[in-house]
Amino acid sequence: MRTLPQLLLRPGGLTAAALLLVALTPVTAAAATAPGPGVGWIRVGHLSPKVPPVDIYFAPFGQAEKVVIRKAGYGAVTPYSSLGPGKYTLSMRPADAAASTPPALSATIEVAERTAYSLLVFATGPDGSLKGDLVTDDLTPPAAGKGRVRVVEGSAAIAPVSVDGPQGVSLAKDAPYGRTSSYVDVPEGRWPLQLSGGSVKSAADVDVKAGTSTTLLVTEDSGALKANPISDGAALPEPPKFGVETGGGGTAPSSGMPLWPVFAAVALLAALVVGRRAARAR
Amino acid sequence: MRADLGVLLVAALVAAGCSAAPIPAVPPSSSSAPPVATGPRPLPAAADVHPVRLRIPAIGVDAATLVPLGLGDGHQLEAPARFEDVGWYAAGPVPGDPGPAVLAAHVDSRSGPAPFFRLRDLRDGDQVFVARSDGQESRFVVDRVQRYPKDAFPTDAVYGPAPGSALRLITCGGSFDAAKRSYRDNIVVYASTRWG
Repeated sequence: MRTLPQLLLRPGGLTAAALLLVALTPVTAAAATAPGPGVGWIRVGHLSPKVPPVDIYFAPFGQAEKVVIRKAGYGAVTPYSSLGPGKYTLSMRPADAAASTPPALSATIEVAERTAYSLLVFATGPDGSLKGDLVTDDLTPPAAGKGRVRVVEGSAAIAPVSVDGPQGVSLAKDAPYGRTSSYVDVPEGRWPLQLSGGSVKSAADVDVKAGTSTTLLVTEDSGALKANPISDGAALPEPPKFGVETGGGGTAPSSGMPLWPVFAAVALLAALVVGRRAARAR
Repeated sequence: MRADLGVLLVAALVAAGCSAAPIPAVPPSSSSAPPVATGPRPLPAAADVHPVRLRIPAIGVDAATLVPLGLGDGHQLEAPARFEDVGWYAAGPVPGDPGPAVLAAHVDSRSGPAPFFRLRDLRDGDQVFVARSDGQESRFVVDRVQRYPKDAFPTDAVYGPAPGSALRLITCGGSFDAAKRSYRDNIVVYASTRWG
């Protein structure tokens, strides 16, 4: 996990046109030649209790932004979106505001290949202004039989918050509002968790599957603490090895077949016919 | 048909199926969770959800049924038994659930094209839709199409952890080794969820 400093909004909330542009530059970048999809991923979370729902705008750096998510309210985290490595701009405007409205929040984000990010927006700037934290999400598989859990403390009025489970498991200890805890590996199961912030206490059952990573969003709701688990990702429980034998060869140009010279001529003819058919099909 | 005849005759002399080079046996990575006296309760049994339809408009794929796939002796993903079927690796996630869901189908039969014949033609940005037995339909967007030699298949990249919901579509490609009745390469399509 990596958290970067950045400031975005002055007090006065979304109507204030204060705008600071911040470059969020993560460190690692995998070799471009590495096998894989050649993309990174990003999602955005709204964790500012008093800020009304927003529209999220997104674009490659220097290009015109487009709305990608509408009406994301407090506690909402978008799905991941894959994107090529490079620099992007992300903005938030009040829901249904014109695209020409000055953004309430704007950030420049550098995305590296094979890396997943969560841009979590809190009201943790000076005097309660908005601040975005770009955290890197874990894509490594947990140990066998275990799942990985971390806590995002998104409750501003009830803070700090501790999240504890049985067996002495502590997922967050006195986490201040805006804190993303480190991942903790726990055995698979349905975990009865206790959330506590001062005198406010609540319980939540959270399912942890082996091979998965989960972020537990802690939010406030009418003076109570709520826990909402969202998935960061998962590994295959039993990943296959090697490739797959998925072809009969009926459309492949044939190559010789010296063991069956009798059929060589026929096969050659087949190759020609099928090859031409394949070429047309392209 | 005349083309088919020759191919069928040859196939009849070779072992049936599209088997290939023997794959070295690798012991499955046994995962034994340490038993715990007190603590988390067991997870409830997962609902029986499975993919029921695959649509890839860009290459004209519309498979109305998907068959479950397992692992072979060498821990490799088995191909659908019938050339015309699309298979789903049933020990992995259902498409739309967290992690990389894996679908595989043949590129061709012994006589002509099979469901993933045109998988190699997919491009970045093409859409893939998977409907599930619980009524949910997931939309994925192609990130990249890669071709790998089977003897250098990047297991970790293809089957490794993925953020959110991801999809892998796999078939054969490259040149055909007639002696082994096997294509030398695999085509792998990586797809993710995407905004907009």
